[in-house]
Amino acid sequence: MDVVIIVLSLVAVISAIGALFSRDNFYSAIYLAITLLAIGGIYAEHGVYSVFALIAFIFIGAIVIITIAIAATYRFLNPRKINILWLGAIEILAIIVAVTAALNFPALSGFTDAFSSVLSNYMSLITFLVVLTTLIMLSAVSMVRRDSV
Amino acid sequence: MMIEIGVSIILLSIGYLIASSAQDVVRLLISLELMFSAVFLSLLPLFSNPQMAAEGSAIAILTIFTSSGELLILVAAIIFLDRKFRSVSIKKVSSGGDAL
Repeated sequence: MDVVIIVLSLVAVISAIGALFSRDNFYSAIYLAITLLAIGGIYAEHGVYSVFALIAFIFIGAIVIITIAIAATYRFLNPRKINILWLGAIEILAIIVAVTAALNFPALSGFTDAFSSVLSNYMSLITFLVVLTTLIMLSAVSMVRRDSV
Repeated sequence: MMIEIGVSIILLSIGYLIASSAQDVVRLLISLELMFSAVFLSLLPLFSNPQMAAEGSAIAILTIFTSSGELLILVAAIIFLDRKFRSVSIKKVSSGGDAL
């Protein structure tokens, strides 16, 4: 098994646990960005560079940066209300399910990136999604501006 | 063995834990993004079949754009909540008159 994949998976899980236990929203959002970068790194390690670019530039570059900015504005140090018994039970159950799924899933290799054929076959879908996302952004901005008057 | 599928399940469970223990909507936004990251990772097997790679890319693009739009709406909702209640605490959120 590829060592880089194991290291990136460990980084993703450890930073997600950091996002869970961090009391400050800002650091929680930073840990989230690290998790997403590790997931993008897994895609890049498998040679699927188009999804890495999408995760890195669209998801981390736009959405997670907005989240970090909001988290830096509302650094609400929330009191933890996690029951340790429930936390342990849920995590043990999740680890059992994860190990079972990972062991029973067949080992796959030879990942291919077919972004060029996507651009030719699904151009209308991509155009529709870009227009829809732009429309959502403009609607959100206009709603916020209308509410502020 | 696919370690990525196991990591995806663990990330999803951590996202659920953050959502269930969240006291403010910003933490809820972070938990949703973590759950979407688990979804992104679970799409990886679609790229193992060369005949399905184009469809896998299309599904990945659809997922990333849909989740981005959904999170943008949630960001706008957080701004609305702060303007109306001067707080982002979950205790301020109500639905149909009932406190959540």
